[in-house]
Amino acid sequence: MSFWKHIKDKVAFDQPDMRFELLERESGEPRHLFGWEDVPAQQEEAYDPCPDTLAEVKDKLGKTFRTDINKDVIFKRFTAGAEKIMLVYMNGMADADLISDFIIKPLLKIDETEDVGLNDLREHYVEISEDETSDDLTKIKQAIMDGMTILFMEGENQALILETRGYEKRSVSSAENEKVVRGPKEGFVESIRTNITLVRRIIKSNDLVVERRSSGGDNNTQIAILYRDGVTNRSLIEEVKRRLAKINIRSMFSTGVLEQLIEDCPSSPLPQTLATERPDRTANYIMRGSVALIADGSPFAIIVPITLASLMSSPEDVYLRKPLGDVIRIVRYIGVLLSLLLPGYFIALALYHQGLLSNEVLNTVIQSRQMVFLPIAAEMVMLLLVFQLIREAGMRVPGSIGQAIGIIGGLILGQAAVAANLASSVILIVVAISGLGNFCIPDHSSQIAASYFRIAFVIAAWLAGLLGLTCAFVIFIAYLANLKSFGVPFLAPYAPKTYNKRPFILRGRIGMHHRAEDYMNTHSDTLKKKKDYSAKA
Amino acid sequence: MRSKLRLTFANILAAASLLVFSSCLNPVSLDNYAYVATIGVDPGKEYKYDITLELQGENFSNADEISSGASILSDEGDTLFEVINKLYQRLPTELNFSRTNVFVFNKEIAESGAIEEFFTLSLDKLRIRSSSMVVISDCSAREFLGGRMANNDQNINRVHENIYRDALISGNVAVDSVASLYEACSGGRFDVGLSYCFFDSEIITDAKQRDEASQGNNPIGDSKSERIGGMQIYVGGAAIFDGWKMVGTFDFVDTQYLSLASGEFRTGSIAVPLDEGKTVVFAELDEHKISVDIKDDKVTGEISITLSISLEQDTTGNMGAQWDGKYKDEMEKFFETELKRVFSRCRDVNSDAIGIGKEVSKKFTSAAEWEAFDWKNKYQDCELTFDVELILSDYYIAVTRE
Amino acid sequence: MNLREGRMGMLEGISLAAISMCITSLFTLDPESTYSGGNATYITLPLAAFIALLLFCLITEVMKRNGYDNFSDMLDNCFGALGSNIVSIILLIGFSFSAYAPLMRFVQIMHGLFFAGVSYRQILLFMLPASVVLAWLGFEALGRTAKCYSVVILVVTAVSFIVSWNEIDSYRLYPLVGCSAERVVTMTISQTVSFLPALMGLLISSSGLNGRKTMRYVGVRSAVISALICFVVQLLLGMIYSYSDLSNLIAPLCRINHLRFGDTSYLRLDKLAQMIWMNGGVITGAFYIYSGASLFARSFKISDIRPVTAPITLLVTAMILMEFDGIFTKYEWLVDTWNNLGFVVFAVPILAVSLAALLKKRPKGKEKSIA
Repeated sequence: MSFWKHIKDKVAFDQPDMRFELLERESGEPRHLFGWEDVPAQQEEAYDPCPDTLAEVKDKLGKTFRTDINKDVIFKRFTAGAEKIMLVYMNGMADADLISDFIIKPLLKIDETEDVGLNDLREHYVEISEDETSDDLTKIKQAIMDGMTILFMEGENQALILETRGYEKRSVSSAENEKVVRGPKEGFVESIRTNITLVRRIIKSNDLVVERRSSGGDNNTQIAILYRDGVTNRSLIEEVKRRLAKINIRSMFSTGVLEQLIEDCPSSPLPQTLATERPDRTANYIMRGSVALIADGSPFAIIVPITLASLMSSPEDVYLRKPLGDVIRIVRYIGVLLSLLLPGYFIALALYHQGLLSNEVLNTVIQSRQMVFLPIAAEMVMLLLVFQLIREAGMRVPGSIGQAIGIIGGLILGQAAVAANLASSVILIVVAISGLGNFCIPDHSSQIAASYFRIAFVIAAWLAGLLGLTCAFVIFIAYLANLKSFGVPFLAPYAPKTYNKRPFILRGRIGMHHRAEDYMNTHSDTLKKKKDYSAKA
Repeated sequence: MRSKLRLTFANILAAASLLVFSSCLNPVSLDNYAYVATIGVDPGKEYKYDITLELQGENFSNADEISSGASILSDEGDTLFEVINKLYQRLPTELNFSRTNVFVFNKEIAESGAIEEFFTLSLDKLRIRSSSMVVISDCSAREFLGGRMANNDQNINRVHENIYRDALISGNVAVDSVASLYEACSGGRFDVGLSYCFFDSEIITDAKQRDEASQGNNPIGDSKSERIGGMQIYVGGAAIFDGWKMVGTFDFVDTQYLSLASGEFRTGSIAVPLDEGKTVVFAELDEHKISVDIKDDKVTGEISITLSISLEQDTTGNMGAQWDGKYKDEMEKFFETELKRVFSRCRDVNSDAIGIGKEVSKKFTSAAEWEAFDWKNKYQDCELTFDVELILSDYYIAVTRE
Repeated sequence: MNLREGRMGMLEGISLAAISMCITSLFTLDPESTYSGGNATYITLPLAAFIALLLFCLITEVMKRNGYDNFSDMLDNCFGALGSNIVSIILLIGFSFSAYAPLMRFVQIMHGLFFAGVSYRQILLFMLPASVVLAWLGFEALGRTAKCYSVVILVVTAVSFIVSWNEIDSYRLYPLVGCSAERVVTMTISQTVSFLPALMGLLISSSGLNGRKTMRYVGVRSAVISALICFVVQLLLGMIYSYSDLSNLIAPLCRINHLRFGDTSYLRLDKLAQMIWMNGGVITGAFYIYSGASLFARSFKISDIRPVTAPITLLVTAMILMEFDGIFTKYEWLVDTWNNLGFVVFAVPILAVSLAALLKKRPKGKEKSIA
């Protein structure tokens, strides 16, 4: 795109507002104000009829899977009764023992004179619990790649798809990044099937729907869309699918990539989806009317839509008693405010509003800064950067050494910096408190986003003191107010106020947490609504 | 690639332009300031004023006087800003007045009415808060600041605050701020009574003691004082004003009655002479009411005061038993006499330190009428009566030693 | 048309309108003319709010009767395209002055109380982007930001008065009212200029408020809340400062904590309070800029509101910078006229449109709106 066209696109003010609005609608397409951009649907591959001869099948599949160089795809031919059978499966993806014991063995026992059809094999001989037939070679190819075993019979234009997935996968372990004291310890793994199972174990409800589809990347990663049919807003589901259909990239490996492809504003530092490792948390959101996306190969589920309250809530909140939950939440929000604003506030006071500091702090800061060569704001930025370095180093180094780096880095580096007059003790304490507040944020992406905003506030305070800090904060709040996650305002349920009595900051009574969220406009809501609901939205 | 480069360049240019146009708003790091805690004003020898600044925290080697908590600098000039400009040259850092909360004026300055000059423009320009206390010193302002510094406390502002917090409890010190001074002089409804302070040169400072001890001398020497160390200043009463001009001083006893009359008294010990001897009572103000009446441009009024008292020292030995019949009336009469005397003193110097004008202003329905009334002129003819009621709340006898 | 209206709820609308009305009425008064003859603002401001509310209710009733959902539609139908454009330009100038007033006052406060030796330009370059971003993002973002700040502004104001509680004394209110009934009436009418722009902003953005019914609900409640807050604040201010002191103070609310002696840090937090009020001023300015731009865009059928907000912001900036450079002193009469007669800019169109709509027959085929 040429430079001037790029500028012209930026200043072209005649485009309608294309943002998705999660309005109250029972079903159907989301109401579009002035017409959506034409989004080509995900190109589904054309129907490819299955040949009825084994040779032709082998030839086609061989070309598809490049079997001359790719030795992973196995073609096993044998005779079952009077019929010629060919099994096709992917080595390593399918369980070879399962194939031998429950497919090949029973079929080999068929009498040579017996004339059997595909259905007979399916109903009487093959001892696999899950199977289906298909005459679409496209579907068959996908099944092979998924780890299924395909049974072809000479003369049949249909094939039997047998569930024989048995690839190596990590066993269910605890969620590494979302630890709780009370509450379940299980976390998602890389297998989509296992993850779905983990959710189903919690939501034993017949309205839980799991729709499977391909991600849209060339690597055909499977994605599962989980929601409660009849509860979740239909528009939301359709919008999620619409955005998934828009995906057109080379490869989609994990939910981290997926969330950037479907978010309202991917360039925003704050995420508009919630990534969680915990099945219980996922189930909690699904029960409330959210949609969860699970990708094969990723131990994280994505929840949409979310609000700021979702990012600020920890999975443990509901497992604690109300007073404890309230206190922890208040402390958490105070921590976040300290994390965002304390360094900037200190710089503002130190550079412009010295009258606000108490005598004791003033004298302490002056004395501690006597031999420090850096200007105070630069010192603050430097220490914030060092804090980020220690944090990154601690995350990258494995195991217990990583924890030690955090402690050693903080203690020794801090002490040494003060002794070497590179930093003053007061600024170090400010940065440390700010860092602790940062760790109060439960969501990892939001923690990093907070660091980003913190630097912005420090720069604003450096330029204009409290004036710059507060004006920057207004812009920050306006930015949050403008952000939407799948049509849901980011500051809901505070702004806009909703009918759900669940408070924004405090934990609220436990009964409030298992009602559907009003701002998602769910269907069979257990909340009573007033008649003139539309006027008082 | 080229368009991307151009876009990046355009963005950098826009950001740089914004920074250039905006610039920082003149930030100065907090360690590049000298913080002025107190401003003292004396009459100058060569110039109009001799202004002393007490700087907290850092000790400046070129200061006139240094203690562990503060430094003192002074110079002469015709205005405050002239002196500030001179003092800038003596300091390695800029002066910051945002922490100034005390003004000390020598009594000569106060009597000349020159205080007004300091408060018209300087406060806003220097970012001094109007809650700053104003103090009149019997000694020179410089001696006052030096004497206060002798306490060797790092936190100068806290020293001052503690002085006055203690004084407020005792009720024998008038405390007022710049804001009150403004209001008194612009509104004309009352006059201020400011703290009146003294310097006791007999008190031996720690520094002097160290010097004498190092030379092997007795630090007390010929001094009458028996106290070594601590502050050399003390607050002992009130200076009353007529507008911007100081017109009289009260000792701490009369200050108590002044604050009783004006309703600012909270608690305090008051000595009451009786026929049998002196009794000391601890009084707490329960109720204070002023009612005024204007007839033919003459203002008359009554101040009703209710005090709860508890006996701290009872020389009679039987005050509790004879309270209602004898001592109550006697003490009430004593209070009323003293209050009247204090009021007369105020009226004689045309100082409405009691604040009767506040009640008089309530009698008018329009600002024009009130301004036309010219209260200060009418004040000389004002008659005031006092009605004191004492309630004995606690009877505790401390028998005196004979 | 992309008017960036979105949809927002009642509480957000009330917060936005109430903040705008309170900030404009409490911070933009000319001290000398308002207080010199006595302090009657605790009467005149609530009365002014009431009169503005009456005008607002009048026009909403007419809208309901004629089935209009939107002030712009009403303008178009009553005055035609040309008349509507002329009225829009007049109202746009009114909104520009309304945005100029609080922003100017806060620039003066920042310049006077905080940042000595810097120009208005530098201060404005930090305040204005916040206003512009808010106006740019649209009505929804404005309302939600206002809701977030409404509680903070209320708390900060309450704490300021609580801290200076000891300074409150009733004698300072006397002489009560202090000025003649004629002056009270004059002041009341002229002070409606503090309330009318916000109510007009609600009228213009009624579709963002989910319809006329909700818009009226929001307008009434915000006017009542603002009147109450103005009454309480001015009464307390009148008991902290006498009228003679108030006539010399540009922003007495910013100085009430200056009266309390003490060196503890919390007593010096009044600077934070001033910054929060300044943020309220930024939100107010953004709301007026947005309202003016929205009306202009609707009348002139401009497809997107954003390129309209930019020139309005430039206009307001120019007005503020002219004040600092002393150019505006030549046109001081303009500012004085605005302070005294600015209400005419809003009241006359409201009355004219109401009258025209009452006289005009209901357009054929126009169904009554459900809302």
